[in-house]
Amino acid sequence: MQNSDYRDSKILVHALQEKDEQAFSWFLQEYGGKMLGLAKRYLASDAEAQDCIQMSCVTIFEKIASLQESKAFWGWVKRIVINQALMILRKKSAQKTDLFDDLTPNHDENFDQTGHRIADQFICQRPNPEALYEKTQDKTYVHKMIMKLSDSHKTIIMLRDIEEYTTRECAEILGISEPNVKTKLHRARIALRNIFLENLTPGNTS
Amino acid sequence: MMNCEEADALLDDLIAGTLPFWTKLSLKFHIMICRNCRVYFKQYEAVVKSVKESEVPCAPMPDEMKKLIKDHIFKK
Repeated sequence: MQNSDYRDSKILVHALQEKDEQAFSWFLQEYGGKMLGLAKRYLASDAEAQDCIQMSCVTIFEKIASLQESKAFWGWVKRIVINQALMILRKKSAQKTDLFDDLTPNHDENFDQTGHRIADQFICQRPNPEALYEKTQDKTYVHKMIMKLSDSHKTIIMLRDIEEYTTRECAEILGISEPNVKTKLHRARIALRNIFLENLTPGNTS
Repeated sequence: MMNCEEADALLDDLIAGTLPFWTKLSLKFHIMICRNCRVYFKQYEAVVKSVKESEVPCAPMPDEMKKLIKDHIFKK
């Protein structure tokens, strides 16, 4: 078998199901970077991301026999890596609080008793729209701002806005209800908007 | 007429394009007449759109790590 044959996901999956070492080497060569990049979106440290990938590879190798639709190979791998990353995050936060109980900022603080919006500093100051536009076009800056979010906010933004899982899929992955996913996504986006604008204020160079 | 809090609850559906026609119209009307919501919604929408279009840096897997994983799986 030539390495280039593994580009066909059907051949690759079949070879991995046969526990073929050459196919596994090719898999690591081609997918390793993508998997590591994916893990780093969720986990703060390189060491955690590396642990996540090692454990994910073991799971992939053990469960590949159950994969029937070879076309869905990358989606299946992605799901394993994300589940593993979430497991690491949950373990980390277990001593403090549940990972997905983090619900700051308090939504009600943005409105008065009659339901009218209270103007926060970013509404009052109205940051220069050109500066905002420029920063939203800077893809590295956007990623840096996402990484400043709490683990729970970062996770929901990654799943819903970047990986583009549906609300139902997010609910399945996180083990919470669909309305809960929507609420958490909204709060995470509010938190991101605040971080984004905070970093636009003059004198803040991060 | 909807207030700011009710309008805020519909914002994600507006961005996703899943609002029924009359609800969308009512929300747009609120945004038009409420300055605070108008400024807020513009900022919120800009940030959400930028996230959707953002690129996540790739992370090449070190050779040492590949070897470690392979050795572990194939029990060398």
